[in-house]
Amino acid sequence: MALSFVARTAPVNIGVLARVFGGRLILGGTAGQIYTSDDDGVTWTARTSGTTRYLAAVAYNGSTVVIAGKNGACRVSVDNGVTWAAFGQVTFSHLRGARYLGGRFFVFGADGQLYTSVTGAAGTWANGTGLYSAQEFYDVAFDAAAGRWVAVGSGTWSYPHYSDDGSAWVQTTSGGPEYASTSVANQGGTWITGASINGMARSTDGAAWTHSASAFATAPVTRHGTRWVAAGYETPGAAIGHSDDDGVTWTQSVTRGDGKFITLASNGTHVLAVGYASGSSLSARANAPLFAVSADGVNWEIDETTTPGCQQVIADGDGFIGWTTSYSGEIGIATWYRITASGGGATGETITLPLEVSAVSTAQTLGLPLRVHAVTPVTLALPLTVGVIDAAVTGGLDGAGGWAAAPNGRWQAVVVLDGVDVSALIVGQVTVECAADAARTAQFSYLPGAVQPLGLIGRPVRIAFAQAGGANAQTIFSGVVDVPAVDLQTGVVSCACHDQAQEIWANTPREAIDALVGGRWSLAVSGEPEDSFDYLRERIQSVGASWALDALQRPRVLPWRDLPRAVTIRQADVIDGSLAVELPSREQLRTRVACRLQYRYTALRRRGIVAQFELPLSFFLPMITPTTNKPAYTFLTTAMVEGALGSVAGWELEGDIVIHHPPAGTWEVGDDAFYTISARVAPDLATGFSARFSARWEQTVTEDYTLAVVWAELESQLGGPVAEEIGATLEAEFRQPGWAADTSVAPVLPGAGSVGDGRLPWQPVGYDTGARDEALRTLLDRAWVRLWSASRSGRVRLALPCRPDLWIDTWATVYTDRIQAAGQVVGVTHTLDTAGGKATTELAIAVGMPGNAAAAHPAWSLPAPPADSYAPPARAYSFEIGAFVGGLDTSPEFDDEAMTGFITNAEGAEIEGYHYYPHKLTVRSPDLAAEDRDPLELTATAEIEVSIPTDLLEFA
Amino acid sequence: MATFGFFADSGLTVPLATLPVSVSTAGGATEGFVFFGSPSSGVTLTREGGTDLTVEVVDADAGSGIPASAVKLALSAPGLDSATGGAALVLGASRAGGVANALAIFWRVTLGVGSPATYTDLALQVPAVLEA
Repeated sequence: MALSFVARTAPVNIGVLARVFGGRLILGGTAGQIYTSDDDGVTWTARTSGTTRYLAAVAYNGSTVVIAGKNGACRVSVDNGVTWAAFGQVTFSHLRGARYLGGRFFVFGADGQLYTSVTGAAGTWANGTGLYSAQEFYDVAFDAAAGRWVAVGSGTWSYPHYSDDGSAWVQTTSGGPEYASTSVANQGGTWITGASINGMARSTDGAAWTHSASAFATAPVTRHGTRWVAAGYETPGAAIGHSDDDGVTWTQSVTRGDGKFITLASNGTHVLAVGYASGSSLSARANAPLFAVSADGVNWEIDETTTPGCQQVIADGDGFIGWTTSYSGEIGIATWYRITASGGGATGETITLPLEVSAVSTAQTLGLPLRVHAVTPVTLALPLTVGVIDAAVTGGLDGAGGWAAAPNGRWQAVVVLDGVDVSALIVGQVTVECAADAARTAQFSYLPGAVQPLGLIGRPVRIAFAQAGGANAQTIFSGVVDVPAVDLQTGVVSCACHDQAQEIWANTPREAIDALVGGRWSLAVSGEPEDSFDYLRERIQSVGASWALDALQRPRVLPWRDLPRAVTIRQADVIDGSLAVELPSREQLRTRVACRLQYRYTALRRRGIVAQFELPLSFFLPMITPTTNKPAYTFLTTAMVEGALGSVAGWELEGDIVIHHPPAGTWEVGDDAFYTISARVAPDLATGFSARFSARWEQTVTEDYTLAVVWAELESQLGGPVAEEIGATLEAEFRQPGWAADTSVAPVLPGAGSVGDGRLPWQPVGYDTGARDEALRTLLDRAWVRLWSASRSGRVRLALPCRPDLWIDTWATVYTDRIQAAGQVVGVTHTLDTAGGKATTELAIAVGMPGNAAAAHPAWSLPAPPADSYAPPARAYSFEIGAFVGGLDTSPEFDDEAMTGFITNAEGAEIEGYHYYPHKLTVRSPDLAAEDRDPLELTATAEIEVSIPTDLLEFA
Repeated sequence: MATFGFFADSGLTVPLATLPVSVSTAGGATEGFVFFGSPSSGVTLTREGGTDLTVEVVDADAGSGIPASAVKLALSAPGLDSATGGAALVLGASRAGGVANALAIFWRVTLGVGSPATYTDLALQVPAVLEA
């Protein structure tokens, strides 16, 4: 046997590799990168993953690819890995595996997470029920005949789970692997897994498991032909075994003095195990390679020379793909291999194929009709039409007057419907309207010979303005018939058309929209968009720009200033009587926009407190002298301490209760008087103790930002504010049931075992402070754009002899006797009256507040996040434990409510009239203050003055 | 040199050289706690002569500054209410080293109405100790 390696270099350190449809390779990186390759890893294309988390596993069902990794990173692709979308943060726990089995996707990992979905789409994922929360799932397998899934993993008492519907799971209770099963497989109804304790285990139904005679530690398993093969560790090193009786007994075929096999795979002809010969770090192990290949699963050839080695391997056609990565360390290396194995097979054996011949009574002929269909080859072609028009037709204006587009006013409308020129059949007017942030529409009527109006719906339409005879045609509309109508009296068919703007934008990738629009978009501000058109309309609110399709239906985004075209229009160019001005009203203007963002998350909190008590030995001992008569006080006992501190409501004991016992000995306590504590008694008595407790709880924190964007200049001009408010909420939801009560549930807070507070703001990716700041900046962008948009609500309207080239990509400056104004063309209506011979273009020009000054989009400086000023008092960290002695002439009456602590009495005969107490120890733990427990509202306000662009607007 | 001392944290990682306390000139009390212990788990602290270990409030300049009675010590925060200003706090006959045995010492400083000033005449001290 021989192994051959073709080394490849990935663009990033590898977390996972997988082969999907069409031979495409998917690479998930250690920092959340996703790449694809269609040439077997020679070249790679970066894809947008939207995550920076370590990616560990890929699942694929023929059309949908799912990738999962650390911190609950999950992405889904329905276009074979080109684009990736989050399918919702189903969990924040680490995910190490993904499978598609039995018609279901699974992603799984730590904290009892085993999510499933039939389609993989967002909103269809749900965690299974009945899962052991302390288990980290490593693998899932499926028995198609039984319709049963089995999941295995690691963690104390991590017995396998099984399910008959993929959602409701039952954990087996005994007999099977108890710790660290890294893989499970099924073949012919037999389930096999290997674990770190008790080694290999088998089951015939996934529910009842039995250990096998031979043990391998954490041994991944695979089926190779009729044989089971397991590779893992058996003291003192890497080991491989096989079983020919469905896992009942195992025979060890490879034993090494060091190292470990990590995993193995079978491609049908060979089985390849990979691991390391020695070392502890990833790099050390990569430099101590260990490959073992076998054709029969019994006879193995070892390769320890190919460096770096592999610690992951998957079957890949007639070979394997191997790479090195560390899930726990979230590191990997960029080198990977395409590995092929050759040779091998058993020698000296006789291979027998039994031949079974059945004699039947009548010979039959089996026929399979063959149908051959001969077709004529065709050539696919796309006609290309290039029109060259006279530059003069887009010139003119600037006082030249006349008809630049159609000299002498001789023009014609060209209307092509479903590829047929119907210009000669046009009746009445042809109108085309286009405006910023709107679809382009057209209306025309024609008199066909015979037509079914309903058949016109969706038919393509092109309308052009041309000089008489058809020269210098300029397209002014491309689109489809939306609504046809027929006049039953005249037979005239009218068509209302649009340019399919919504449909075209909806099919435009978000990346293309990002490139066209720029600006910002925030999920918190906009919510999840229905489609790309919705996304466009949300994103463009952050920039001073408008969207539209041009006359050839190409998506365009046009800024409100610095447009690609500019024209000057003078009195002579304008059709008499058409010039009009509309000024913005106070109601339309805005001087300030308040941006309010509520950023809500859960503060995971921990508090460590201390219970302490100490009395000197002299407190308990008597002292009888001529001048002193102090009786002995009954001792505090060990049992009292353990009883009082063994269970404290709301608090969990951390570590041990430390009890201070009096020393054994004899003390002189007066003239010839002695007090003895024997060595047998001393451990039962106590002079003091200390213990630490902790509690965990969740506190909702809301950072409430109100940032006002103010155009002070306009506010001063208007004499007061004209305001509006926009807002958003970003909420990081914490979903870890039982976290507060169960300290084994992640996440772990810092400061375990200490006295004081630990705090972890739950701000996962997408809901972190970066997302908060992006939402704030998005709101601020929108506020500034709203101020500008409101200011440019004025309109200058005029009509020209038809100018088919004018559109909203044009900056128009108007000079007339009455007004000087400049602004973006925001509305164009072409009216071609074929009967009257009149062709006009009406323009609407947006003008802002006077001033004619540019203003740059602000670079925002955000205020500091608001902080919680509350500091808990010292008593928040301390038990109340006092000392009270009864039986003295100074002892007050016993008050069970007020006397918390060690309660004792002076020893000796009771004296009438003295107050004696119950001998006991009580402790009182501190309460959590409302400031610690109740939802916390932190506010931040700021006012940001801005400048807004102004335009030329002067009246004579 | 003794490894026992006063620390800011229960993990005994931040040894304290001084204990800064702020009290309003309007008068009132400020409370807090420090930790006493040794990060070395193999050592034991006793007092010379075998008597109890104590934490005492000492006044280096009894004629000026603030009196030791302005400071109360206790092993619990509620215990400060019944503690006597300036009285020593008994820690028992011995203390074991190690983070798990760190002892929280609660303190309260009470001042009357006064002027802005910084007083440095007081200190907490555990006298005559033997570390073994």
